Order: sequence, then C-alpha cells, then structure tokens
Amino acid sequence: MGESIVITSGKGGVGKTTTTANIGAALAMAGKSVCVIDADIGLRNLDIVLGLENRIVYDIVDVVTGVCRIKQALIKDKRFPNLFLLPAAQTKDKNAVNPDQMKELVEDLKKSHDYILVDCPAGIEQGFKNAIAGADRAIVVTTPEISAVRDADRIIGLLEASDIHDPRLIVNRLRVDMVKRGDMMNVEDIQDILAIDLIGVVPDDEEVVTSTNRGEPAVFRDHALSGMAFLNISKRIMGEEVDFLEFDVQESFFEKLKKAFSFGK
Amino acid sequence: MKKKSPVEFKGNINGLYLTVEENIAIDIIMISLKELLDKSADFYKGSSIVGCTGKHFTYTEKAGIESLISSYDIQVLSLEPLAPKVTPQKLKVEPPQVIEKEVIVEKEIIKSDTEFIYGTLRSGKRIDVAGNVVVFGDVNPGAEIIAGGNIVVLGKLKGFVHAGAYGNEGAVVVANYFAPTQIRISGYISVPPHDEKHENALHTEKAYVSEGIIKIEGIH
Repeated sequence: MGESIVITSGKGGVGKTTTTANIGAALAMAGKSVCVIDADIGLRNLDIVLGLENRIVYDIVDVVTGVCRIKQALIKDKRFPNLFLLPAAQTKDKNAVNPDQMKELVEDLKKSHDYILVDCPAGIEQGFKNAIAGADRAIVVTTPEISAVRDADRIIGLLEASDIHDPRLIVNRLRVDMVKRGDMMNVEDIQDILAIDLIGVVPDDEEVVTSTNRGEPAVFRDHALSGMAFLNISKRIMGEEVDFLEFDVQESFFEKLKKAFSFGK
Repeated sequence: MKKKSPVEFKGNINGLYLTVEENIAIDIIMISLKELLDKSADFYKGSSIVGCTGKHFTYTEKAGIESLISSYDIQVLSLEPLAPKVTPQKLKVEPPQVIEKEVIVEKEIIKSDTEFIYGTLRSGKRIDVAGNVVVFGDVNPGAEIIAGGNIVVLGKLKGFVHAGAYGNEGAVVVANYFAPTQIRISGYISVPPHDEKHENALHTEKAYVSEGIIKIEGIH
C-alpha cells in the first residue's frame, strides 16, 4: 500500500511543479514505483516539466468521468520504467473534479504504487481542496520571501484544519549570497514563523530553467546543485537521514565564511 | 399573526432607542430594521436614536446600522448600551428602570468568559469573542483576534488584535513579544514602532489606553 503526498504552497510560482517532478524522478531512480498527478486542471505544467506532453492521450478528467480506465491515462516515462504521470486536463477547469473523486482515484493508485505525488495548484479554493483530498502527508514549498511565507502559513493552517498534520517544509530558490548580505530571509527565520519540520533546502539554480525547457528534471543532471538537493529530499522521504548541503562550496573556501551560515544539520 | 420583529424602537425621556433581540444573526437584524424603518420612519422622522439595548454590535456593524437609520432622516446620536444614569427630571417611573438596567449590565460583565486558545494562530484565522482571549502560542501575521475584553498572548504577537472591541477602553493587550501589524483598543488604533532594538527584545509588554492614545510599556 503506497503513500500519498501532496506538494502545496499557497503562493504561485515557488516551485511546486518543479519539486514534484524532481522528487518523483528521484524516487523512481531509487527503484520505487511512483505516480505523479497533476492536479492543476486548466493550467497543466507537470507534463511539460517532465517532457511528456506529446504523449498525452487521456487525462485526469477523463478518468473521473469514466471515459477511460486509470491505466489508459497513465503515461510511463521512457527514461524510468517505474515513473508514471497522470496529466491534468487543459481545456477544462478545476470544477471538473471534486474532492471525493480525487480521494477515490488516489486510493486506487495507492494499491499499485509506492508513492503518489500530487502537484497542487496555487490558491486555496477548489483546486487546493481537490489536491489535498486523499493525501496522507503534505510538503509545503516556499521561497525565502515574506509574501510566500505568509501564504505558506495560511496553507499550513488550512492543512491542519483538514486533518493533514505535521507537514514538511521545503525552502526553494535560496540565494546564499543575498542571505549573507542580510537581504534575504534565512531558513531559520522561515522556520521561526512556520514552525514545521524542514525536509529540504534547494538553492536558486539556473539549471532549473534549462531543465524545464528541455523537459528533463534537474535530478537527471549530475552536477546541478538543485538536483542534488532534490535527491537528498527524496532520500529523506524514504526515511534516510541526510545532512543538509552547504551551498557555498563552489564560492569560497574560507572557514570563517562557512561559519557565517546558520542552516542547521 | 405576524411574528414579533427582533428589532424595535422604544422611547424614554431622552429619546428613541433601539431594542434588538440577542442571538440573532446580523443580516436578519439588518433586514428587520429596514422593514421596520420602511413601515414607521415617517412617524419617527426628526427624532434621534440615543442608544441600543440587547445584542452587542461590533464597530463595523454599528456603522452599517447608523448609515441605514440616517438614510431615513432619523438622527443617530449613539448606539451604545443605554447609560443607566438617566437625568432625573420628572417622573418617579424612571428610577426603578435605571436600577434594573444597572443590574443587567453588571451581570453581562460577570458572565463574559475567557476563551483559551492552545497552539499558534496561523494566518487567516479569525477569533471573535465577547470576553477575554488567552493564546498559549504565537499569533502569526494575517491572524486576527477581536475581543470585547482583554487579550493575552503567551508567545509572539505578530498579527492583528482589537481589544475592548465593544467599547471597553480599559481593555489591555499583553504579549511576550509585542509586534502586532496593527493594534486597536476600543476606538483607538495604533501601529507599534519597528526598530531594531525593539525587535531583539524578548520581554513582555502591555498596551493600554491612556490620555487619548495607546501606550505600550514593558512589564517587569
């Protein structure tokens, strides 16, 4: 019986889809059977980030309305045999699916996969409600910006109200140089406000832009720092204890600069 | 037989006042008030409303009622609970009424409860009570507490608070780390200063109304 995780944030553009694609790919690379679901009906992106948009025949709305069976809609990634994508519909909107249908769908998929990752749309309305239905756990993604953190706080409150407790935090697009200058919030400031356990910190990385355009998740490229961060997150999801990366390694090797960081191990 | 309206006009020596049944939703009250005004505004035209008994209203609700009544050419001098002290001018009838009202007001104060909240209040959460509030946790920016009484936060206060929301100027706000986005006590409003020294201090502070403004000082 698999585990379903919803990846949400409240704020748009903080990296939910990128995170879902990369963690999904990383878990599949580790041998797990993974199904990623794009719950952003009407504005689908997960297929593009994974490079699978040309292979879409059926989508999630077809499945819940009975036009096809789940297996017909799932797209198997040719690069990894145990990674599957259930795409969203592009020509409908979030009201085409309701939370009960979503819950049933996720329960069904849990029988045949180790991990179900649901890419939640931005916002707190129907799309969000659909995405969290049927989720066992939640990962909240935020960037180190006050607006994103404010929205993440709201989302955590809504998750707790829907009985999804103990969400984990990913801080995405961290710019270490700006944190050092005092221009950007650091991870501890964020944890102070949100008060949930950290599962990963991902640095701002140009590789993410190129990999999205290519349709190849950053975890596939060995040298990408963001890819390494996502790999570590996937290990922590599987229960391993992994130290948090120090991101200044490429920039400077003076001991005293390393001490200026405060993200914990 | 027509049902008794939850909103009625009554008169006393000082003028007209509104009686409103408690435990009725504000939108039903507004509808009943409009019906009442449509029926009888001509009769009351030119008079003034001096008070209101029964249900307690928030500031925004009172503003809505005031604008509705004013649109019918009836002046609204006040919507506060009727003062027990009525100027004794003529009749012996008045004093017994005054005493009754005093007792009612006291009972309401004694009855008002304190709401205890365990855990952090996250952004978007709103607490609205007639009595006091004690929070065992933080109040994050975006969270709102509106209380008729005092507000005590055993944690970091970073959200919005309104103490004494029904007119109690003696209400206080106390927090271990005092940095609300905005603070209101009764009809006074204030934004605490944002300075570096203050942000690092982790000592309990209290806000109260004095000399027409909200003052904040440390508690030792």
